[in-house]
Amino acid sequence: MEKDGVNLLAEDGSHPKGAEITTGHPQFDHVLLKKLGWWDDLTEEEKKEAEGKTWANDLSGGIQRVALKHGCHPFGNAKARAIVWNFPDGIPQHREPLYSPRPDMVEKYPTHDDVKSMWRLPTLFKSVQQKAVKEEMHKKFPLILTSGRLVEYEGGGEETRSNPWLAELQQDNFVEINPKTAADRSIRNGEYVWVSSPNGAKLKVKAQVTERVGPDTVFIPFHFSGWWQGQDMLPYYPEGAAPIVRGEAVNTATTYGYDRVTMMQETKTTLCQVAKFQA
Amino acid sequence: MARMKFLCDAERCIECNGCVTACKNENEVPWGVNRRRVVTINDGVIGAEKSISVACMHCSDAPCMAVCPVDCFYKTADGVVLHDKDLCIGCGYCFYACPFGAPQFPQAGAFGLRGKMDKCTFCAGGPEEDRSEAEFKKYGRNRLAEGKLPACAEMCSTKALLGGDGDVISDIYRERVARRGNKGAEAWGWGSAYGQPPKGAVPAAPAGGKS
Repeated sequence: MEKDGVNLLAEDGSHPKGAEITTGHPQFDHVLLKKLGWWDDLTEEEKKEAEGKTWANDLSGGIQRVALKHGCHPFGNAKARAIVWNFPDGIPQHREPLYSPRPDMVEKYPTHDDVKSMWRLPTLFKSVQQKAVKEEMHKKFPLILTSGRLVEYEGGGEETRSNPWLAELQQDNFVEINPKTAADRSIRNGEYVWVSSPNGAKLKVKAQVTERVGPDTVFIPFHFSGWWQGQDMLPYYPEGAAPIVRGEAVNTATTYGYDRVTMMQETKTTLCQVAKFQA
Repeated sequence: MARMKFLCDAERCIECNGCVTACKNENEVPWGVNRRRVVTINDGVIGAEKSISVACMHCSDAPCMAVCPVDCFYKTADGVVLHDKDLCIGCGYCFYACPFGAPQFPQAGAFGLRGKMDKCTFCAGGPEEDRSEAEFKKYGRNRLAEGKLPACAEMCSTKALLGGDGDVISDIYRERVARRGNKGAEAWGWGSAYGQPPKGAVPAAPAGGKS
């Protein structure tokens, strides 16, 4: 068993403690048992069930029982390695996000090339990233913006923000900002700030000055919606449908780009700038 | 008779606010009145952050009872400090006296109008008939009368918050402290509330000798 000339089974001497087979081996099936001379360890009933089967589909359980009796793993002994041949990276490797704070890292770990048809859509990766480097986005937007969860809310938060017991505990969307970063911008705890991002969006959120984040990073929870760039959209909700608590949706500010394998949007790694609120 | 107490283990509290939500839901407490809350210190400082869940501790010698000008407080046989909202005049003295900030007032109006004081009842209701509609409306659920412990402690996901017979919960806490090498031996608030040294630091009682 090999791929590209490399043995995929475990090397000799690498085996479970007490195993009678001390080399790598494939999974146990009827052929291997017969080859090893272990077939007769099965009972007559087990043999009937096990004929033509592997450990995985032998309903008598005999193949598993015999393999374990000899100290071996029924599923075989191979190297812990995965090569996914139909992924762009057969083995996962680091690639910088489209908007990176580190141009040197972009050079070293560039993102994927643009794709002409991804699920029938032309999709830009590298050209967006290169443009961001050329326009020095990391200088205009020097802070890393990441998003995540709060314990009080779930998902987009529409349901949980409509529950008074939960809504009372988190009444405003906020940006977590390090005391040093806040002091550099004359921002005080609890004040409104503008968070702007490379896609042109501006979010009006409250500043939560905290050591939870480092000086180069800010965090905004993603459970809020109902505000659009400083404006409460309450009049547009159908009567009685508005959640008790509304706030800026962080994904207004997160940027184009996503993982091309999982189609997961790039919400955890983008850039932003935070400034004192001015109406 | 059991002597009911609360104990919050700051080594275990993860600031999930499950106790706060359980309390609000069980007792249908209005917006703005917090019978229980979670306080966090050194927020975000690795290794130094500590959270604790605070509510009325049902003190042995309760300062609120001592200062109340209309004497609306009373103590149940279980040691739970309750009050009568029909007597309360909303003066707020109890709030100033309480070391835990437990008393809550539903209003803030002209001339210092506060409304009837509301606080944690250890899920034991009030002076009305047990489990009556009137009791529920004024004080929330009477879980003790149903043979249950307070909803907050029952709901606590890490069992940081313990509520129940003081002897039982201090036994649990003592064993925990011993197991983790005397870490967090101080049972927060017990000195103020119950006038006794933190049980975690005290050697275990001799077997069979417990009253």
